[in-house]
Amino acid sequence: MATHLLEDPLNTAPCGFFTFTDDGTLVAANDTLAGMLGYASGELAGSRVESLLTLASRMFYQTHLFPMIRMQGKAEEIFLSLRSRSGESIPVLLNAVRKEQEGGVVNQCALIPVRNRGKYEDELLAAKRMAEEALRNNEELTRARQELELHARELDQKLSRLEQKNQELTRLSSILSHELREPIRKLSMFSSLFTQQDRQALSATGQRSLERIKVQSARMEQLVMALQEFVSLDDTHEPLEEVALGEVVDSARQLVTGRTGTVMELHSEQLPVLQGRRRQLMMLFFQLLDNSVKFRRPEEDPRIGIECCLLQHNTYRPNTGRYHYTDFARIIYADNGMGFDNRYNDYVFEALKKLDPNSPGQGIGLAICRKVVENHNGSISVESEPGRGTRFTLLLPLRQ
Amino acid sequence: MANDVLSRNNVKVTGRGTQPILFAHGFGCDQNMWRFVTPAFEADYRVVLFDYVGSGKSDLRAYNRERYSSLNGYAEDILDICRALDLKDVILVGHSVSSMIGLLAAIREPERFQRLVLVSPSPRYINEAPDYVGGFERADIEELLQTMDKNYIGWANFLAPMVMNRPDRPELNQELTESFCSTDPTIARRFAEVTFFSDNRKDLPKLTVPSLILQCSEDLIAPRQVGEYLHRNLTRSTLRVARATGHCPHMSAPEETVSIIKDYLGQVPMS
Repeated sequence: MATHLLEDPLNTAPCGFFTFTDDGTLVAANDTLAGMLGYASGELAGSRVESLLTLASRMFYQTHLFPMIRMQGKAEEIFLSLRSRSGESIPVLLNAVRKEQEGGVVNQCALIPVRNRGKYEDELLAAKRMAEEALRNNEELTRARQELELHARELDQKLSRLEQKNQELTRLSSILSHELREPIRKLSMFSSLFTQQDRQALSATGQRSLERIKVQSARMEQLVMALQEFVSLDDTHEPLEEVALGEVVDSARQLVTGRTGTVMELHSEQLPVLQGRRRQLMMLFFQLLDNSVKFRRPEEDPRIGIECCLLQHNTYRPNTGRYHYTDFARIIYADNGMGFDNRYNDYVFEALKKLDPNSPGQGIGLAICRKVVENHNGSISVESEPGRGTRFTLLLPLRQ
Repeated sequence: MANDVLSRNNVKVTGRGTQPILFAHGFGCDQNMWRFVTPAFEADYRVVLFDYVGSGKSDLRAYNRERYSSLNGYAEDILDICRALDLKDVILVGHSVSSMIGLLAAIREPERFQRLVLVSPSPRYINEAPDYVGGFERADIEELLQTMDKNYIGWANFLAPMVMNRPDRPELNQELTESFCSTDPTIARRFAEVTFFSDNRKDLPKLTVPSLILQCSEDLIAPRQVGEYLHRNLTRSTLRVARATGHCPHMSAPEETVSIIKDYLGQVPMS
């Protein structure tokens, strides 16, 4: 490669000097630099800039120095470490300037070794880092203490409200299971005690009314059972355990097939083992599958696809400003059912809300799903299109 | 909320097209680094540029140590911007660490992204014996952090706006009176730690969006075998090796970079 030798006095000046092009090729280097690095005069020309640097300084060159020279036309007082032919590391300070010359752009650099200053700076930096660390720890501690005090009070208030709510729920649950169910059961029973003869004694209106009493009391009984199931999800006595979601989906599917007698086609990617409450998770998939069967398109068998991907998500939710990324399973559950208008995306998760009052079921299934997911500190959302099917996206943390 | 994000991340939108192309800068710099390539996309795309919180002219008050202690927090910046501008069918061009940040964003919300362009990407900089060659040992990274520290000692170049006087290049004056890659040293150091100690190898198979791996010749930060590793582990990926050397082809060889990206965007994605 043709190189032009640098003329004195630059060639032997008390600083290293070299030039390079944007593609990183050394055009020329003076003797001072060659000597500093253990090379012969003129030997460096044609090699790559990075070959003069330690690995770390090469990275700094690529991420900071070159962008700076390229964008700004110069760089000043850059600290770098050169690497000599024998592998010795030499700390230097470098100035660079970008010049347009005949035949293109060239970057000129001058540098001086700073061995002693380097040691001094190392000590300064170590002291600075310790001071910063101490300061930050102190600030963090103070802030943490303030937050802790604040949260302790909030937590106490929340706990007492929660306790009260729990008592109400337990009471409600027992009202549902005993006080309310008993009269409904009796209603059904007494209406069925009417014999053929009794019924014939009634007028046509009387007979119709009796029929309706029977239908309505049966419906009410189912409604109360559904509500009880929903309320019982708040019962936290069920232990946390390692639950293999794949098994849960299998059992839920068998249950749905057993109850409805409908054949469904189910393709599931491998599902993870996660920490959760087995009965609740079972209920979650039971309800999703049950819905896919209930709201299938009349001309087609239900077809369900389950996809799963593990990703990192922030575990903090109402607490904006706090971040802790942990592993979540994102499960996408899609069916080929009737679907619904996306306007109702939130509505469908509310208890006892039904889009079609004549459809089967009590309107509690998706409310149960949402509650199970929330009990597991996850989230559930839905997208749907009439005639195209429904797609649920569940995010469930692997650890509670 | 949307406006907050746009000013927080110093978001700039230009271009006369409709499909968004979002350029994400790498570690050590800010959106300015794209200025040699973005003009080539303005006729056909809606060009979106931004600075990560903690870089460039972003709002430093929004820096949250917890959030940005993982690349997920930076991915959240990208998703926040996409939501704020309601971007769909996004082409995301990410340089260096932004290729992995973009990957995480596209895994989180795959439906939002149409293609990823990964410029000089690496999923792991540190070698992992026996099988993986990232190019660096932990000690090299420690030394880089130290080099950064030393360059921040009482040193204003990266910190404060600088007035440039370049009578020979008047077109640069206006822009360069603003800071070049100004950044807070503490934040920059943490960004370096997050960047160079991250390991995203296990995330690669999760990407469903088609991607271009733009690999430079002789890139010591992301060497050739790393590009090939990515190509093997990213389904629907295309590997292109540029003649450009170094780690920043968009600065050292902008024309070639533009032509490779345009060529890729003109193709039907691999299925």
